[in-house]
Amino acid sequence: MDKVRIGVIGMGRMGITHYSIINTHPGVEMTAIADTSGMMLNMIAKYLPAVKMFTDYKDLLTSGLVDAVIVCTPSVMHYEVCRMACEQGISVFCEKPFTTSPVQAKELADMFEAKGLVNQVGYVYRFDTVFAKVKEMLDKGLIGKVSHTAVQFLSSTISKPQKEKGWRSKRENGGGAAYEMGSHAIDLMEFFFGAPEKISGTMMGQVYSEAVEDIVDVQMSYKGSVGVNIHVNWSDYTYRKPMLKLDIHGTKGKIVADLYGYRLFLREADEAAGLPGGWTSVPMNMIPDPCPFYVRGANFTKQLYEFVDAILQGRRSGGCPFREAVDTQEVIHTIFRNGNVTA
Amino acid sequence: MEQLDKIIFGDNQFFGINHRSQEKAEEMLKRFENIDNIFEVYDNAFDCGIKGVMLNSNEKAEPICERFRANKSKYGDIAWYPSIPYAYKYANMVNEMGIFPAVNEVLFKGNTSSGVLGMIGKGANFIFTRDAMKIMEMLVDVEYKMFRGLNVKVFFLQNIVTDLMLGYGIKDVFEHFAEYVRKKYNVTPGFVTLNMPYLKSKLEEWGLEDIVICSSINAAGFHMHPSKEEYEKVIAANDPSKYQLMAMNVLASGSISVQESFDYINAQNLQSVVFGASSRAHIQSTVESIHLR
Repeated sequence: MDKVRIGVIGMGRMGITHYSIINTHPGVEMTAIADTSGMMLNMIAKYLPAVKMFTDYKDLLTSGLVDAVIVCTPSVMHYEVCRMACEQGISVFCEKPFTTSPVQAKELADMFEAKGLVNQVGYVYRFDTVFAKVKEMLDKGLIGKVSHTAVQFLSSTISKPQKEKGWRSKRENGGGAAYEMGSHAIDLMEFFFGAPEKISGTMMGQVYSEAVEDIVDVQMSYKGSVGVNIHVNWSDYTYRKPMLKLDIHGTKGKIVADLYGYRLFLREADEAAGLPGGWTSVPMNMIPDPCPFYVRGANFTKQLYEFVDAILQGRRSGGCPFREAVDTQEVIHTIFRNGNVTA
Repeated sequence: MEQLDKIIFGDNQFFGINHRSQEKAEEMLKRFENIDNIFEVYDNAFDCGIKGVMLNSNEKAEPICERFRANKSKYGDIAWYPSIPYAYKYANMVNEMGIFPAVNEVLFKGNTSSGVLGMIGKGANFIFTRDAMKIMEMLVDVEYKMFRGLNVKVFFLQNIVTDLMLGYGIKDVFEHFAEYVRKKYNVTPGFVTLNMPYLKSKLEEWGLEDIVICSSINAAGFHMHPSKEEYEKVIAANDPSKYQLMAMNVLASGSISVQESFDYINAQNLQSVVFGASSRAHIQSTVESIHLR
């Protein structure tokens, strides 16, 4: 395959961004867009004459026009869209959260693996420069055996009482802090440590929302007795931009990382790695981070280019595969099952 | 093409933008809550010989523009390089209500100043689906109002919008924006981008010239996509009579030494540099370090 024909399903904020990014990939031909808004389709149709517009995603999937789709519908629709894409032999990049049910998530992972189709979920922080570097340091064993990781994900996403009743305001549709932000933090732990072995100590809280949680806490343990606690609060009005922070404690050292960079503490110098003992600070802008085409963040570009490159090269994607997104779905649903929303 | 000021004073420091540290950003935000502190910095910059200002059309820019206008005798010779839109405002509105309601809100509600009647008149006849370019014109008009009466030289489209649109590769958007601001406001069109080589090749392909391109250019390679090498090639080959190049992020948020930064910048074929700083000493030393060819 020398060109991948791609369609975008759902031209909301993410669909619009993904289209712009992937249209710049030299191995891509954009062929189709599906959206329920006729207004959106009419407006762009004039300027994208080579792209076919559909108001029903099913027509797009059976049109024979696409080899792969980028799915940016409300999360509650992901299952039916991905399932049909798989039946049609179409590779899928699906936005997060993957589904709204662990059973459906597993079914999709099984289906796509059986057909050997490239599948990836938009857990974009795996492609963040800082967190990719943290993963590399962990894999090299730089800080020894990891015993504990604390994760905080804070933002001012919902900083006043909610009037709007969009799809994001309902948990069944994939709304709430656990889906919106917790899923990213949980996936990052999957990326670092594999599947969780035990989930406990869950708690949810509400500040401004009525139907969904604004605060989420969960404790998990991973292979090798790695303990993790995650704290998410999307009603923290002190943050202008979302902030994801990690504090990883190991026997030989510690990593403190956020979106701005990382600090590494080594109890003793690591001569092989050329690192001194004590603290080493690396701000984000000292890690070279060029990407082929920047729209919203180098990580967004890298994850989509990886999806397309995997198709072109006939290999698995290096992003989050459906199989690993199933685990994240399980964790989220365990949190939901344990309930415990404190007002 | 009208020549750009070689040194232009930017605005990041005033609005709590710091690529390196959130804490530093917040400290600055606090200091510049008081507009007197902003003007103290501007006055220092002008004392140091700077004659150009770049300002993004965010909510804090309005009173700044107002004060510049009110003190025409003092600031009348300052050249303006505004950029639009204030992307956060739109991103938040789009998140909250969706794209079309957000555009509707910006154009027709929450907009009580004098120009709005004319805008509604202009908008009454269009339907979103028929003429996206007219919507763009109206959004430009809404944003431009803030800068009325100032000596605007170049009117920039911010990188968030430029690069999003650039990905779609639609010539009309770029051509229409450029022609519209040229004709209606008699200013040179400019684009801020984080993909300068890609943008420039597209503008050339589309035959759009007499345009200013502002992009990150620094010795560290910070925000130079797809690569620093690609930038260097394009900069070296550029004909400034067609495209004037302006460098931003020249200090790469402090990750490289000032000396190294300006040795690099001064050796490039650039027409202008925009930088921001908050202390007089820092402004002075930066101005003294810039010697464009």
